[in-house]
Amino acid sequence: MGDLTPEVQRIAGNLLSQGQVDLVLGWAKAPSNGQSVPACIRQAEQAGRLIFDQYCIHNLATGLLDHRDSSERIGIFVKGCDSRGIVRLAEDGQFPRERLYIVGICCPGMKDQAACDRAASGLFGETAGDSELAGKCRQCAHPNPVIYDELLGDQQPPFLNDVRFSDVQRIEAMGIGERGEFFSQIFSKCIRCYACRNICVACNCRQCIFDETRPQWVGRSTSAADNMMYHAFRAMHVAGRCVECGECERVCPAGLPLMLLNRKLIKDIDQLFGPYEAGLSLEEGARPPLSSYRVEDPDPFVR
Amino acid sequence: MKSFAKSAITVVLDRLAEQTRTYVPMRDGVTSNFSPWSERRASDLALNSLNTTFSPKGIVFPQTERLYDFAVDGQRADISGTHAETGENILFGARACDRKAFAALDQVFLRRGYVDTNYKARRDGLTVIGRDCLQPGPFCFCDSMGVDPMGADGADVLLHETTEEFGWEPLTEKGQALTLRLNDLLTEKELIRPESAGCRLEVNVAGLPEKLRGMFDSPVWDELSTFCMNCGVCTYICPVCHCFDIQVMNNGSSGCRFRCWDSCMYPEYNLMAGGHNPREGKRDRFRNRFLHKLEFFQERYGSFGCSGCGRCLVTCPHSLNMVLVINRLGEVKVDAS
Amino acid sequence: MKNLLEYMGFERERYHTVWISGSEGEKFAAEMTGVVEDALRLGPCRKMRDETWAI
Repeated sequence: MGDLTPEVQRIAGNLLSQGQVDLVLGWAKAPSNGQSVPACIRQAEQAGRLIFDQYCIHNLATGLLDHRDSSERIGIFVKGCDSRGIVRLAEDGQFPRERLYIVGICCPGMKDQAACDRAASGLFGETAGDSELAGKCRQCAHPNPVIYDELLGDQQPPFLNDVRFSDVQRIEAMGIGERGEFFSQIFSKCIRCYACRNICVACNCRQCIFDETRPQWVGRSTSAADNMMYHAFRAMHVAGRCVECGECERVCPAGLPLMLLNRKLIKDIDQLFGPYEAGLSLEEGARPPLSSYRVEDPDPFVR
Repeated sequence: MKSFAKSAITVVLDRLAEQTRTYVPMRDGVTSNFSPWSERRASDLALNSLNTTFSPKGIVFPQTERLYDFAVDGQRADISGTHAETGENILFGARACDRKAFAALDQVFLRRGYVDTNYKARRDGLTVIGRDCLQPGPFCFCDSMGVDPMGADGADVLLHETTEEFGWEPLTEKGQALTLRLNDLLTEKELIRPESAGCRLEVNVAGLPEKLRGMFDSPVWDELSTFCMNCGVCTYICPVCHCFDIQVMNNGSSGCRFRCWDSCMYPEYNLMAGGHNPREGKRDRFRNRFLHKLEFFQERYGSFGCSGCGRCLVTCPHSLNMVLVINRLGEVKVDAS
Repeated sequence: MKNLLEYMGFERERYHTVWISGSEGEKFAAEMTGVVEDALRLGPCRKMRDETWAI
């Protein structure tokens, strides 16, 4: 992939100077330490700040939620996974497509800045993961944007060097006691920072049940039971709407394999309602499988 | 100076852990934490790593802490079982930044009138074995926050690190007591203490608290908080953040009251009983966190609410962090009028 | 939900979804008896329970 930064800067500059959009969401370099960070610019002169490099891993689509009550038109740069996030928001009625100018970037796979930084902080000795693709990118089936007004870069092959559901199948093959033990272990490490929820593009409710105090649906203790409730609730709430961007796993400070829950639900939905991948195309009136009803829907769970 | 060979580290830890639960930096999958030595495999020992993913504050201030139990029977209510831990613990290998953070927590929980019983019990029972920090990491900025990476503040024993040895310098009575326990493992040796390489990352905090007094309404807070998602990662991995909530686990006629960490990033943190939320937007919550650390904490306790450990630099999902914020705040021009 | 709970290690019989009309009192009673029987047979669920939190 050639350096797309000049293109990104040119497009952003034009969008702003021609008044096509009011603001542009992209990435820039943090002056303090050179990390790639999300950036929001409102003047064409600032377009020179924008960059695109292999550390632009953040999904900017979630950031649109901050603008859902305004009427501003927004230019946004998206990778494959981010573009599915845009479809998610539009389909959920959270953000109208008309207010967006989407610049798609065919994604060659990103590196996880935080993981590299953690490696550099000495925890893993010499095996710094700097050359490695981020975990979430290694499972990516759609590196090319699915919705855009303009496309940059060359079409990329899917990365998916692992079978999509192989981890889920590994868990399914365990005995029920072993599975309980496995997830108990995982959930006991959760610190309930809610980063997985807040970064999630499918978690776009204005009022989240985990923030409610009257009634309090899930306790605030970090006991295995409350943590399990949190993760089971959240997995069910995004079931059928998860776009598999993998941001939840990326941001988890405890490194929990949260996609194991999401992919299990995706796998079951595939089996019960036919193959489905969330956020692949934006169609008028289309609804995710769990948001629609057909008489012939299977219902083996109900007596 | 008394010392032991680095190769003998497991023997020393075994000896310490024999009588007292000893927390050491341990690798745990893709993260690291201060964990009890006896519970983990020696191969997970992460003494060579820089800061652990999670700070050691949970040892004196657990994330969830049961306070007391209650039972209700008709008109009668019984309260029982205070769960404050009075046992002794050892924290092995704490760096200057984390010890500085303990000093900040002490200010909050012990020094300003009210003494927090549970915190005090845990803190009094804790012996801190500090260590020199020869090679601060790429994200460390403790010396900018007034912390000396080679300093002895807050340590009962200080480990001087050389290539082959750990020098053992007891500094307090608690430290002396541990020295007695290890006496046969320590040998007297002349050690040359290397210099610390110092922090590569610098921030300028001179005059910042005063400057911030006039910046409450600055538009810079909107700019800085644009991509803050209001998750609680930074507050939970921060060794100084100490906000908590007290909640009830109710099981019908019985239950318990517990304390758990809370985060100023959460909407319900600021929610008042009447339903009003004085810090409704994320800008307000973001501003509060940084003003607390850089202005209010300094005004009340005379030090910053940040020890420069750098954890937020590698954990924030959107790469916002203390260094970025301090630098940006420094750039902003404030109208003197 | 049932699948997810089972995946996380909870027995299938712990979770029931039954369609009962307001007029089907007998069915409700029978189903509830079944729920209790299932639960008694399985015994207390100690999974995801932290012993230090036992009340």
